[in-house]
Amino acid sequence: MKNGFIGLFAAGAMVALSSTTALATTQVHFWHAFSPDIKLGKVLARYAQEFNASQDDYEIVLTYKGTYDDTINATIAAVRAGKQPAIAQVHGPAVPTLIFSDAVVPVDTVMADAGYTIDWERFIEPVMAMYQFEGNQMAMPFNTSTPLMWYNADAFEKAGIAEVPASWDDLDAAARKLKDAGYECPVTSSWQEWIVLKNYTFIEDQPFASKANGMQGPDAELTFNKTRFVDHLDRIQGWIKDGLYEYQGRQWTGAHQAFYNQRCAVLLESSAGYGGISQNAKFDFSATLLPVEADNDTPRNSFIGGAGLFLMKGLDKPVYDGAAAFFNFLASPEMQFDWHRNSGYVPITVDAYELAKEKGYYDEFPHQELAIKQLMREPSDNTRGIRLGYMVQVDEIINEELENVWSMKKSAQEAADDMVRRGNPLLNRFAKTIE
Amino acid sequence: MSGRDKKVVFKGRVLPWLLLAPQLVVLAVFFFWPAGEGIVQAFFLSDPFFNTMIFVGFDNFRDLLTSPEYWDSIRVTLVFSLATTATAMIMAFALAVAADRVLHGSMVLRSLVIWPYAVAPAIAGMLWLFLFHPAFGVLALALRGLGIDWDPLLDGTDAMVLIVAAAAWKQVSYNFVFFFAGLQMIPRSLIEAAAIDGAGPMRRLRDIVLPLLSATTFFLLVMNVIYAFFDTFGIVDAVTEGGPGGATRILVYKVYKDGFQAQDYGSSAAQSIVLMAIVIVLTFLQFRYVERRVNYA
Repeated sequence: MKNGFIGLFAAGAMVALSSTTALATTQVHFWHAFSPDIKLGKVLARYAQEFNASQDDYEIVLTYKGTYDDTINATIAAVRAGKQPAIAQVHGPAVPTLIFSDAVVPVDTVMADAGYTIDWERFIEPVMAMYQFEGNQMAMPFNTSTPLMWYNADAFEKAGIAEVPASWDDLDAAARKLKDAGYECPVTSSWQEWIVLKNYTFIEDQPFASKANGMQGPDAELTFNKTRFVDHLDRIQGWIKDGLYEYQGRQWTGAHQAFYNQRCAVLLESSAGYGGISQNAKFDFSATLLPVEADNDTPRNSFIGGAGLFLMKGLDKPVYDGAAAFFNFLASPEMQFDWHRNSGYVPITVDAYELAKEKGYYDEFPHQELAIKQLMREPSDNTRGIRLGYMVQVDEIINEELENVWSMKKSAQEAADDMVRRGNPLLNRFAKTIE
Repeated sequence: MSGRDKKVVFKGRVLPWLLLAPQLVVLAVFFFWPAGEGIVQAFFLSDPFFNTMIFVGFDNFRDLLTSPEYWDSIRVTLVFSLATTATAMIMAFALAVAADRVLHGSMVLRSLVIWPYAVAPAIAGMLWLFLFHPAFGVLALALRGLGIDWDPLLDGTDAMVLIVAAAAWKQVSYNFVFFFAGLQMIPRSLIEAAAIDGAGPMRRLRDIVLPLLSATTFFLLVMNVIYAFFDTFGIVDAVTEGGPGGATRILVYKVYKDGFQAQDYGSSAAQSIVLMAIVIVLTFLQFRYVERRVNYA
């Protein structure tokens, strides 16, 4: 009886003790779009675990919210209900919505308030530029990718292509050789609005929209229908006519399948496509930089994809301190190198890149270095990013009109003009919602 | 007729309202409130956080109605809805007639036919996409093998056929259940009497079965049209994303895309009002012109 009482007392004291430690830990909620069933989700969970184990003050609580769209919608609804998470993972097209909103706090301010001195100059420029607004760093880049040209090296050998194409003219010649060697689809692309259009305008230093693609203000207009992009579109239409290019859908699945089963020999696709390609391609494959125009002596940086981490407004200081500590943890060169290796995304700091080089990582995986090299080219006003409203709808319009070119319903110029005619009213409407 | 004239009258007003209250509350909270919000929203331009709400009058509607693409969407929606409803109903009716001959009591077989109804639209879409995607679809490759130029990625007609098939496939099982139950309700004696009088199977179908099923058919017509107009965005999202070139950009998909992916709430709300108006008009027309020919027995 006596022992029982003491036991009970001890148990009670234990509970009381453990609950006080629980109270002392500040929970930092992080909503993201990486399914816990896939590798990216598992890597992220490991980071949260490592961070939580490394200190006692903060606990990162991960919640998988579904797709990128689900995550941003859940975040918007939560902000309106006053139940916002501290950290939200937000993908490219939704970034302007948050940057122009009143719902976020700048990351650099929060980091400084928490006592971290961050040398933002050591971050990769076009990656950071996407999230810069009125002198502030609005989000922490997280998963960043950029397109590359993946190719079937066996097919190149079979077709007698000695040198890997570097210009679009080279690719044209290579595509014809591949066709002659029996490849039904020499070239294809995934995410066409990103790769065929936006990345072309970046690398060739052509404007996508006025006001530096909206980076200098939301009241911008699409202008790519008056640039070299139209000739590029016309070239690909010609390729389709000659059977040198096949359209495999708007996203990545079709293009990947066509590449895996060796129907298509060249795949223009994100650097993050490496995971799928390395698992499924049963042939010798490799990657190189995206092609440039033969007369382009200073190709610019390519355009990024992926998502950044935003901090939502209206929470207590300790929560922000916790988020800042976690960001500081994530941004360390060692963590960025780990992320680079495990996710296929590019590291966001120059230090992490140098660490990866130093460790000889690129000797083993040379194509992993391509994406970052492509991003470290000197940017211009045309290549610091794209910050336009209702981008989801604009992208849909671009996709529809590109399909009209591929199906020969419209000429390159007609389709480009229609993209601009249909897209500009949307930009205009969005601009009105911003004072 | 006499049944309709019998009126049960409650004494007092409190009890009937009290009994109605739960249903009315559900209606008000889950239907009238959001619908009301939607109507208000349609006249505003706002950021997703509602920090800025600009009253724009009928601008959202004007933008829609002056866009040739929107009118094309209306046309595409009518084609899609008609094709889906017709396919789903005809297939279900044919299956029900065939099943009526063999399945008299088998619960198991009847339940099996209902399965596809339980599949979420987006999943149904993915299933059909996996079968018919030109790059990796098993059946698409078979079609190519037969020399048929099948490419739903670039051919608008092929894409439409694909989403109609996916949408109708899901709805066939729902329709089947009703048709099958309806067929089982038809007295055998009527059919036998007609057979003795020399009516062949087609004649019996036309003059006895179809009139006796008219109430079921009308109900299904209304339900299928509503399904095709409202519940199919998941299929389009999974299979074609409205492509190629807008050939499958049905109205409800556009509402979903603009509202839930682009956060363009004003336009999305205006579009849902237009969509709602179209469906109200269609339902009214159905009741006005089709219901006349319905025999409720």
